[in-house]
Amino acid sequence: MRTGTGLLCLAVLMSADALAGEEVTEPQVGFEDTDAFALQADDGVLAARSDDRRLLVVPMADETMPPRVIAGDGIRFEVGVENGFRVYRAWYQGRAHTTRAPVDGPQRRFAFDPKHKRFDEVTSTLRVRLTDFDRLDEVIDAAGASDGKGYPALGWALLRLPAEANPAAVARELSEHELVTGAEIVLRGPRRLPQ
Amino acid sequence: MITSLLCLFLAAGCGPDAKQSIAPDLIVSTSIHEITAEYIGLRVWVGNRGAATSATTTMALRINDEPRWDINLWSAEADVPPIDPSYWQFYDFNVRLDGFDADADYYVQASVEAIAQEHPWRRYNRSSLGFTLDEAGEVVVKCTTPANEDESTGTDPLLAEQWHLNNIGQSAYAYWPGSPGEDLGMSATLGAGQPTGKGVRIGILDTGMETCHPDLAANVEEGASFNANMASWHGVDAADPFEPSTLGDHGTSVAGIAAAVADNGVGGRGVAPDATLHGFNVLSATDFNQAYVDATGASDADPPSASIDVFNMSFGSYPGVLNIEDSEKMLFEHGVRNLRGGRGAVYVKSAGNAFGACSSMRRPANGRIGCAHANGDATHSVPFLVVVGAFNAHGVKASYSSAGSNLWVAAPAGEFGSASPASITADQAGTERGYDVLVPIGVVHDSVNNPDGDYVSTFNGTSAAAPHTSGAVALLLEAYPEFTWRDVKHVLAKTARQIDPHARTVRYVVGGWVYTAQHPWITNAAGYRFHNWYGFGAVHVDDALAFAAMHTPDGLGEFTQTDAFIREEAVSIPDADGGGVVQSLTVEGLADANIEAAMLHVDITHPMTNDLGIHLISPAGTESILNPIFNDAHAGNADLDWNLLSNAFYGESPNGDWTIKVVDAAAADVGTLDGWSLTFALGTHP
Repeated sequence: MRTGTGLLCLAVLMSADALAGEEVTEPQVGFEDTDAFALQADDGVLAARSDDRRLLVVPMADETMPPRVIAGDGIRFEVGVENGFRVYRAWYQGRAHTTRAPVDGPQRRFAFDPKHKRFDEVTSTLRVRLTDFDRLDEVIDAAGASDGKGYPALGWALLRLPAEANPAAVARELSEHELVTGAEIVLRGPRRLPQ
Repeated sequence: MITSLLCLFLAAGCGPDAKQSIAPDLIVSTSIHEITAEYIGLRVWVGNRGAATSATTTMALRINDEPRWDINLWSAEADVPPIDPSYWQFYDFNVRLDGFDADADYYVQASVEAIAQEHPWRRYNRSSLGFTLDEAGEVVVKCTTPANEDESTGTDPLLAEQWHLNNIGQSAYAYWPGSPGEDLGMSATLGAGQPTGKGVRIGILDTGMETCHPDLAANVEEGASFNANMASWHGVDAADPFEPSTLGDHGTSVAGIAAAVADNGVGGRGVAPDATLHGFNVLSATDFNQAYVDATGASDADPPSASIDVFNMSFGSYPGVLNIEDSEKMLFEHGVRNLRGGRGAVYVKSAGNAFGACSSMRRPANGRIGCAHANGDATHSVPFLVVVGAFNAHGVKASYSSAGSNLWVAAPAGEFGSASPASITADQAGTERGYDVLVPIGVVHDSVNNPDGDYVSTFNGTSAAAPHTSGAVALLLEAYPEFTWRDVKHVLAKTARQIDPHARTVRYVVGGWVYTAQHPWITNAAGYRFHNWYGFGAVHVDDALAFAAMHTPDGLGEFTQTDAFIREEAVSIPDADGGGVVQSLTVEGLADANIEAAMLHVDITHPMTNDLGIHLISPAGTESILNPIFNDAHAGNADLDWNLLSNAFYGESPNGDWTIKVVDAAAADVGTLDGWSLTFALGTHP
């Protein structure tokens, strides 16, 4: 894994001001509305929810991905490959927030939380609120999930998606399903270790 | 009573210099991510628990047939890029098994090259595990009955050294003996005809559990444990949460404390030796999120965790997030409202071992008031848990035990088993497996009482304190099965023993003020003693059972959680000023209620929240420190949007004027208290 082939800068995302031709190196305003950001974006950044957190799921860094510009108010993402690592960087409120994953390792998807100013890893699990747990199989099929388990006592089910699926995209589509009252991505969360 | 007044002028002596020493702190852990017939998938996690981004370094993974790393059968290296604070990297290595001899044991060590930025006391960055290949050359993933299983009855040979059950000043294979009486307070309950936990189910949510261990097997409910890695580990049984790593199974040792079989002529005994055990390897799960939901009571089948009465959670979050997610909170709310026929399951949680863990910077004060605290685990901010700290064989806080206003009780655990006693409990069966492979001290050398290497005398941590409490709860529930989860908490609080009664006040001079950084034991307005190191005190089983006989089941009134009482008025926090900023809000309209927990939410803007102490004072004048100054978890942090909990006001009335005090104890950074709110968990106590 000791590779260092240089930076492949695949996507530099600029603020709305930049689209007008004026380059801005740092965001000027605080980012308030993840949904508004996503509506402006057409290049893979998706708004998603997880519990009460509103997140921006960024595209996965890929050597074959061409450079793209994604507009947003007050936030800029850099997604690239650097010295053997997929690098995800968010410029927000004057600071850079960075996470990395080895290129050689499993594909990992990340979401940025503007409120908590951090990246979190998105798992391949969806949390889905259902109206009828007896028809869970229909929802599993609709999601393209490999399997799922319902927890009627909690009011939701967990669906396991294929690794290549974008959970944010699936959650968005699934939210329209007649049996679904809500679909959220599930974050990896903090590491739990014995004490 | 002031027993110590340290005139340490913090603003000048420790502020700016300490802040310039903010550092990263890399930590490593290893796990078995995948097992096939052809390879073992090892996952190495590298995280940054410090407050500064780490420099580039390297990670090495080595495998050998002995626990030594100078000559290796297999090795790999990887670059570790800069890691921001509270982030993790992980690396997967699929190691082919055909390169190793069958029917042999192997040892794995992951290490990260220390970086100059790390403080010298934080540069140990290694993690080890092991695995065994069977005669077919495949990884052993099932519990098999040890060939030399002893089914005799009779006195448990190690019981005499289990000071944590009955401390008579034994040394428990350590150098120094303990202090008589410093134990779980169950000398009467150890006698004949007393509760033993029969009929009570304890769920061990951990790394795994050896269901066939000689001292556990009789208590394991067949088919009810669960291996969460069915999809990723080849050859496992669904109901066998066997830990493939050979260097100690945390869950097995935890289970032994709670419910090892008594009077079977082997080992020691558990607190509740007739309780029924369910094991869950959630900490080893490839998909932790689902495993956690499955194991905490929401699942009726595969596994049937909804049948469990007591959940033991001897783990914590690293690095932590500030606030618990709603979905996790729902797990506990469901459990306390619906399990046990509506009487509620009891969730017992270890407080943490971070008292001495200054990752990022260390001020002199941290040696007295602790580095990181139990409030660093977001799970501890809900009122549904019994959070347990640890004390040692001398009756004082174990050196590592995290403190916090969210502790409920303390229980024995011990120190490290070398100089001072630790806990004696089950270890992975056999001499080739277990904690004593890497740390061969203590009972491992007792060939008379531990002939097969099935026990360990160095088990500690708040991980050990929690199952002592879980076992105690099981005894209560056997004797009083009508008790609700709140009844259990109430009885434990009412009967907790005050230990370390002279635990000192810690005060500093800050900006001309005498500032209390740590209280001694306090007595609140409802008559409950409380200390951030011990909660209400040490669990005392004999007294708990005696009091329980007089307690009316479900006699604490309706459990309610109030809406938030809010004050949003930004105010500056004076820099390096022990008087701090003080604000009050009025709680009214909650007549005839008793506090069961007070939850504080704070919004603070400050570039160095490590400087801040957060205090709450009740209308009755009880003061609780919810966040001590110099909390290492916040070194380098800017801003707080944080939920905290205090049990110090238990039993008091919530009505009246509540006061928050936020103190900035170090110079050079300034900020504001932007708002705060209080919610309460309430009952109506007799």
